[in-house]
Amino acid sequence: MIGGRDIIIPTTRETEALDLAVRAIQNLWPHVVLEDGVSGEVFAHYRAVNFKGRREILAFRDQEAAAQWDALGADPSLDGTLVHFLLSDGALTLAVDAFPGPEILSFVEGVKRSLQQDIFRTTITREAA
Amino acid sequence: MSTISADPFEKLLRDAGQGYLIDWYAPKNAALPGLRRLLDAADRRAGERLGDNAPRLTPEHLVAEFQRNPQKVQAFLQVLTPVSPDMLVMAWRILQGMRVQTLRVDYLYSSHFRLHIELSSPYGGDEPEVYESENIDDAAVLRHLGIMKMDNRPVFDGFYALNLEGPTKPE
Repeated sequence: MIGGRDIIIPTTRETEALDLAVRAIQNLWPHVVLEDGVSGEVFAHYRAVNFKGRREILAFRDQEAAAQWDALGADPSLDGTLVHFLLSDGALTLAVDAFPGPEILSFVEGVKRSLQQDIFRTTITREAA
Repeated sequence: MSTISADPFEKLLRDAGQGYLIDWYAPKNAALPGLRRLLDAADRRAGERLGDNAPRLTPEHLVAEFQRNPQKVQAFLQVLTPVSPDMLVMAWRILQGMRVQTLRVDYLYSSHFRLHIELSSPYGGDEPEVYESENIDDAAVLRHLGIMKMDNRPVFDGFYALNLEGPTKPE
């Protein structure tokens, strides 16, 4: 992921957006290893993550990829094995490889489209709910 | 003059934006006991269905989980009153990470409604969990499901709160 690419997805539902992205990456990579990008805390799976206040999550494709990233850092041989999720005010950013493969591109598009669904964009007045 | 409740469950409902469940209830002082009964029924149903693996759905557990995952508890509380205990268990299982494997709705105007949902574990191993209902009130769970395409294939994934706003107390 040398010189990676940032895909910025505007959202007002930041925690839910991160939650959705982590669920989605688990669908893509069933053996994903999740790590807090700030604290380094590692989670075995989505269910173990407490999302409150969390701003960054690294998703490694599997245990082997996580170990390789630890050993080699941003090595070209590890392209396609890491997605970095970052929350900022009003946006979820997906940091991916500079030239992501079709699997990652499709994943990014899926997350982006999902966060454009009404449930994340529309405010419903309580009388109408 | 407003009062600050010492009841953690009431505080949870208000912090999660569901204070109207108390304020719009008549008589108001019967609201919390009624809501506790709904949760108790769901908690018991979870135990009957899932045994030792059952999630706990007591006010105390939800208060604790709200500190870890407020977005999940908020979504769950939004369906607390309209749906059946079985569907509350289903909603919580999705929030825990279960996958919507199968979803079927059979509906005929003014005649019948049938909802069939199977959940599977993304971690493998367990038998699918089947949730069924013929009560159209349970259709409320459908509007909380995340909708996604993964590699252009259809996926329902996640259970999310609606973005509700407006008065939380009667006019």
